[in-house]
Amino acid sequence: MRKPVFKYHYFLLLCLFFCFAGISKAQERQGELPLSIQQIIEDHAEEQDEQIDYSRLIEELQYLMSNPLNINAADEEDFQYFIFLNELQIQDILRQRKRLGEFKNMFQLQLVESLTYRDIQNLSHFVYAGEIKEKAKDKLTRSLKYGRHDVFMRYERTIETRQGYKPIADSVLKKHPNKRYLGSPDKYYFKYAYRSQNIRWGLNAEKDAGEEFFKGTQKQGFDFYSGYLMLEDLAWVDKIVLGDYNVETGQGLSMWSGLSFGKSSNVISVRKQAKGLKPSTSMNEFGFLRGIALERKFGPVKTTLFYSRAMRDANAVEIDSVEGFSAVRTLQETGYHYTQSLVDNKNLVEEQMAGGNVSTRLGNFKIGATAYYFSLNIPLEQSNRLYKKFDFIGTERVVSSLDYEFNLKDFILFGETGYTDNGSWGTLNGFIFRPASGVYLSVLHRNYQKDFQNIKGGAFSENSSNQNEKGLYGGLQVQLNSEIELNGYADHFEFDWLNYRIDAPSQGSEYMVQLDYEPSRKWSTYLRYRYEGKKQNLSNQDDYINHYADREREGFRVNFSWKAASFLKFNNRVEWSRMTIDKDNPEDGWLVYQDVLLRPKEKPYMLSFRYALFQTDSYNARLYAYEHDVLYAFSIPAYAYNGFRTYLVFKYEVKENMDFWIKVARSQYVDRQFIGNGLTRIDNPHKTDVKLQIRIKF
Amino acid sequence: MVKQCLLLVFVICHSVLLAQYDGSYAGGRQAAIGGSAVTLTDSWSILNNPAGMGVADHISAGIFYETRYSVNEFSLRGAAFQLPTDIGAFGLAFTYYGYTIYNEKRVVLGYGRQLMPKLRGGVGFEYLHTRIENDLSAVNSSKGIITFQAGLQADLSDKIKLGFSVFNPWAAKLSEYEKENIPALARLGVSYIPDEKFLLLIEAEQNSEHGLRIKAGAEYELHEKLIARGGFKTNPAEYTFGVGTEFLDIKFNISVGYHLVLGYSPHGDLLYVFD
Repeated sequence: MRKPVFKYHYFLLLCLFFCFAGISKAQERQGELPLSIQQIIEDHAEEQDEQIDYSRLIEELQYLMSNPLNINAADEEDFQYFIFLNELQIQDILRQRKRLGEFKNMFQLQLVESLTYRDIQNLSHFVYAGEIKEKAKDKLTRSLKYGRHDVFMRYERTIETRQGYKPIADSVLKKHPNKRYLGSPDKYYFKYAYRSQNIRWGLNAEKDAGEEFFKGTQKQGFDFYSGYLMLEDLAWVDKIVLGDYNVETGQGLSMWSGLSFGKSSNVISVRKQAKGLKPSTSMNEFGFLRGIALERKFGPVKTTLFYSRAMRDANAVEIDSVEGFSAVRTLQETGYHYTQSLVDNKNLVEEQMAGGNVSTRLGNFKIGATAYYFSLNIPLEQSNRLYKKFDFIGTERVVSSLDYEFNLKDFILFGETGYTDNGSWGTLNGFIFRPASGVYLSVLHRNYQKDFQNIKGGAFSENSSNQNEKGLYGGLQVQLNSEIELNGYADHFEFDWLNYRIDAPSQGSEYMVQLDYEPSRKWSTYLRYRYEGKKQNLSNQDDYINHYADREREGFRVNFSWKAASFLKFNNRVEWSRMTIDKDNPEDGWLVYQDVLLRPKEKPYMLSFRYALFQTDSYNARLYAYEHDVLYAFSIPAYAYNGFRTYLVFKYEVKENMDFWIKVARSQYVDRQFIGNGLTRIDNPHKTDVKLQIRIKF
Repeated sequence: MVKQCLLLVFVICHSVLLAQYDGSYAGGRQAAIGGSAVTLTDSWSILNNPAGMGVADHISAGIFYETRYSVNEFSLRGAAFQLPTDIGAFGLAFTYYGYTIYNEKRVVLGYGRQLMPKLRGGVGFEYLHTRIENDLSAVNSSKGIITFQAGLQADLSDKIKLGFSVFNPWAAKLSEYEKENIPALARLGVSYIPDEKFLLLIEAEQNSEHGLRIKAGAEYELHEKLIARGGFKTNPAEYTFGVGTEFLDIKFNISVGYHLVLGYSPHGDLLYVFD
C-alpha cells in the first residue's frame, strides 16, 4: 500500500473552491443538486417503467443542503444519503475522524485518502466541520422552542385541455362513466413540516390533476392526506413515530418500504444502507406504513417494532349486493383517482402489518433479523396472467430474514437470506473490495425463488420485485488519477419462470462503462456506454403461442459541464440510444440539450433554463434526462418522438423567510398533431406545464 | 445420456463449442480471468500471445486440462515448454481437444523476444489438425492446416501494459463443405497494475465467425503464495473464478467458468520453472 501523501493540488483546488464558491453561505447551497446525484437518480428512472417519487431522497438531500450536517457528530446512518460515496469511503471517513478526534475544518477531509477532489466537493454541499455540541438535557421544551416550521404550497396545471376534461353528453357519460375525468386539471399540493432536534411532525395533502376537490367523490377535500409525528431521545424510547412512516432493514430482502436503488453509475454501491425507521414525508400514495413504530437501543442491540393499518386500492372481483365483494384482484399503486372506476377502487382493502427488527454489532460483525406479519381483510385473487402465477394471493403472509455484514479496512462482506411462509426463500450475498488505492470492486449474487413473496421487500434486483431471479453483478471503479475515473459494471440474470412480456424462462445481461474526466474545477465531462440485452414477446403475432425475440437497448452519452463564472454554469448533453427488437428495423433516438444556470451572488433570484432537441423513431427509443424543478419537486421526463422541449425555472426570494418559484415547461412536437391517447389525449402538437410554488419558513 | 447432453449443448451454442481454436486460451490463470490473456507473460504465452515469451529468463514446462461444461468429450488438454536463449525464447506446445469421434490437435513452435526495452514481439507457427469420424459413410475425414499467430506487447508505463495478437489472419479453410473456415482472431488488451498486489485486465477479441467478445478479469494477491482471480466474458456470457498457489516450486492454478445455461467448466494447470 502506498503511504498517504498530502495532496497539494487538492489543497489548492479546495482552497479556491471554498473561497470563491462561497459555499458556507446557506442560500448558495440551495437549488441544484450535485451532478453526480442527478445522474444516479436519472439512471434509476431509466430503469423503471413507472414514475417513482424520488421526493423523499431529494427532500432529505435538499434539507441537508440548507441545514448541513456536522461531520463530527454524524454517525454511519447519517451518511446513507450521500449516495455518491461508497461504503468503504464512508468507513474511511469515520476511521479518520476517530484518529483525529474531530475534523477541524473541511480541508482535513483530504486526509481521508480514498476521497477524491470531487467527492469532497460533493460532500461539502451537505456537511460542515464543527464542534460537537452536547445534546441539551431539557430537550422537549427546547425542541418545541427552537424548531423550524416549513410550509409549501404548490399549484400545477397543463395548459392544453386533455380529452378527459372536454365536455361530454350526459347520455354518453351515463353509459361510459369512465370517459371523463371527475375533477379539474389543477394539481394542488400542500406540505407542512416542523423539524427540531428531537421532534418532527408534518402534514402532506395532495390533489392530483383530474381528481375532485371538496365535492363529489372527494368531500373530505384533498384526495390524499398523510401525516406523522416523530419524537426522539425520550426517556423510555429512542424514537417513536405515529402516523405514516417507512422502515428499511438489512439489505431490503424482507422490509424496505422506502425508495430502493439498483444499478446506477455509482457502480460500487450495491450494498444497501438501511435507514431504519423514518417518517414518510413524500407524496407517494402507496408503499408507506401507517400506524405506530418504536425504536430502542438496549446496549449494542437495536430493536424496532412497528404496527401498520392502512387502506389500499384494489380491483374488486365479484360484487355481491348483500355482502359486498368477496375478493380483490391486483393491489393498485398509482394513487390516482380521477375516474369513477379508480374512485371505486379506492381504499377497498385493509392491509395490516406487524413486525420488528433486531440488529447488533459485534466488533467487525453486524447481524440483524427482521420478521413481520402481513394480512389483508379481503383475499387477493390469483391473476389470470401466467407470469403472475407465483405472486402473493390469499390474505396472510409471514416474511422473515437474517442479514449480516463483516467489515475490514478494505473489504466488506454482506448479505441477507429471507424466508416466506409459503415455503419459499431468497438470498443475496456480496462484497465490496479495495484491492489497491483508487480501485474498487463490488460483486453481488442473488437468488430469489419464483414464489418468494417478500411483499414489502426492496432488495437489489433486475425485476421490480425480488422474485423469480438469479443473477451475478460485478462493478469496478478505477480512479486513474485525480482527473480521470473509470466506472463499469456487468450484470447477468436469469428468470426461471415467465416474466412481464416474456412468455418463457429467459436470461439477460447488462453492461455499462463510464469515463469521467474532470480537468479542472470548472470543467467536467463524462462519456458513457450502456447495453442491455433481454427478451421480449414479439408483437403482432399470428400464432397462438407467443414467441420472444432478443430485445437489445444500447445508448451512448456525452455530457459536458462548464462553470463559466461563479454565477453562471452551462451543461450540455448529446445522447444516442437504440432499441432493437426486430433486427432489420432498429429504433434510434437522439437527444441534445443545453442548460444554462444563472445564480447571481447576493441577488435574491436564480434562473435555470433548458433547450432540448429530440428525435426518436418510437416510444421504445425514448431517452430520459433529469430536469431542474421547483424545490423538493423532481422531474425526469421521457423524451420521445420528434420535437423540442424548453423549460425555465425561476426562483425569487421574496423575503428572508419566503421563497417563490415558477416553472414553465413546454414540449413541441413536429411529427404529430396530437399527443397521448384516450383521456390523456391533447389535440395540439404541444404541451405546456406550469408550476407555481411558495414556501414560508417560520 | 451423454448423447442427449451433447445434443443439448450443441443446439444451445454449437458455434462456440465446435472448435478449440475459437478463442480458447490455455492455462488455469488465463481461464480464471475470463481469458483476458493477451497482455500476460508466462509459460502459456506461446498459445495465448507469443510476444509474452519475450520476457522469459528461465526454462519452464507446464500442463493443463479443461473439461468444458463438465462434459468429458469437450475436454481440452495441453502441454508447453519454453527455452530462453540469448536471441530470444523458443517454445513448443501441444494441445488436444475432443475425443475419438471428433478431435482437434494443435502443435505450435513459437519464438518471442524483446524488440525494444519496452516492446516485445513473438510469433507461433501452428499446425492445426481436425479429425471427424463419419458414421454414415464410414469414411473418416481429417485435415491439417498450417497457420500462425503473431503478437506484440508494450509497457506503456509501470502501470499500464498493452497487448495485441492475431491468430490465423486469413481464416484458413478447413473444408469446402459449407465453406468451413477456422476463424481469424484479433485481440487487443490492456492490463492495469495500480500496485504490485493487484492486476486488472480488459480485452476485446474480434472473431471472424462470431463477432466481438469482451473479456475482463482481475487478480489479487491474498498472500505471497495465494492469488485469487475472477473475470467474465461476453458473447456468450460466462463468469470465471480461480485461485493460484505454489507448492515445492510447482505452481498450480485452478479455475472454474460458469455459463448461465451450460454450467461449469473446470480448468487446472501445473507449471514448473527450472532455476
